[in-house]
Amino acid sequence: MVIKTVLKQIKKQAELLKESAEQIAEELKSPAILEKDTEIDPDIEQFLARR
Amino acid sequence: MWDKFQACKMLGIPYKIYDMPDYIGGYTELKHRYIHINPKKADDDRVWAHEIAHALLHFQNFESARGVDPRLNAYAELEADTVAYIVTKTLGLENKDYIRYIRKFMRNIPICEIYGTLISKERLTKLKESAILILKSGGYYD
Repeated sequence: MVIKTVLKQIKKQAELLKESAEQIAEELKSPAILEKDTEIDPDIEQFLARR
Repeated sequence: MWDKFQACKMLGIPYKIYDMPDYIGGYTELKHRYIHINPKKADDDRVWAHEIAHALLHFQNFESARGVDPRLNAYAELEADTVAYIVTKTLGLENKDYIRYIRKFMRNIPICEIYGTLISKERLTKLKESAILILKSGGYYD
């Protein structure tokens, strides 16, 4: 019973994450996204600065 | 149009394509942020976006840490595949495996975290930023 509930919850969370990812993808299709201020993770920034 | 080779070049991520078992699409050596791709998956943009996301998002010390805590591995896979899903969906490509793949990794995450927020809003913003970087560096917006 508990396992069934957990699996149901996992399924729900996976669907929610998919929905968020789909919304982001819709936003990213437009080049206008580049005009917005995008904050870069300091670790990624550091990595890019080293290349 | 998105060019994975250009993306790797622009982001300074080295890669190597060589034979590996069929069940592995690729993997990223996190310490050196080096991508390894299975030649059978070399045309699959999802695999490339997934590995580039690992290279961008997961820290130098992460590789040793995830050996100690398997949850970190589950989170890393969840994040990399979410970025790959965003990228492929933006490119208009099919990615039917996404739900199956992330559900598999979610099973390794404690129930308390499943009931809470699995990926925080802040972290989701970082995944979005990574997807933008990957798309931009591969010439998608040119």
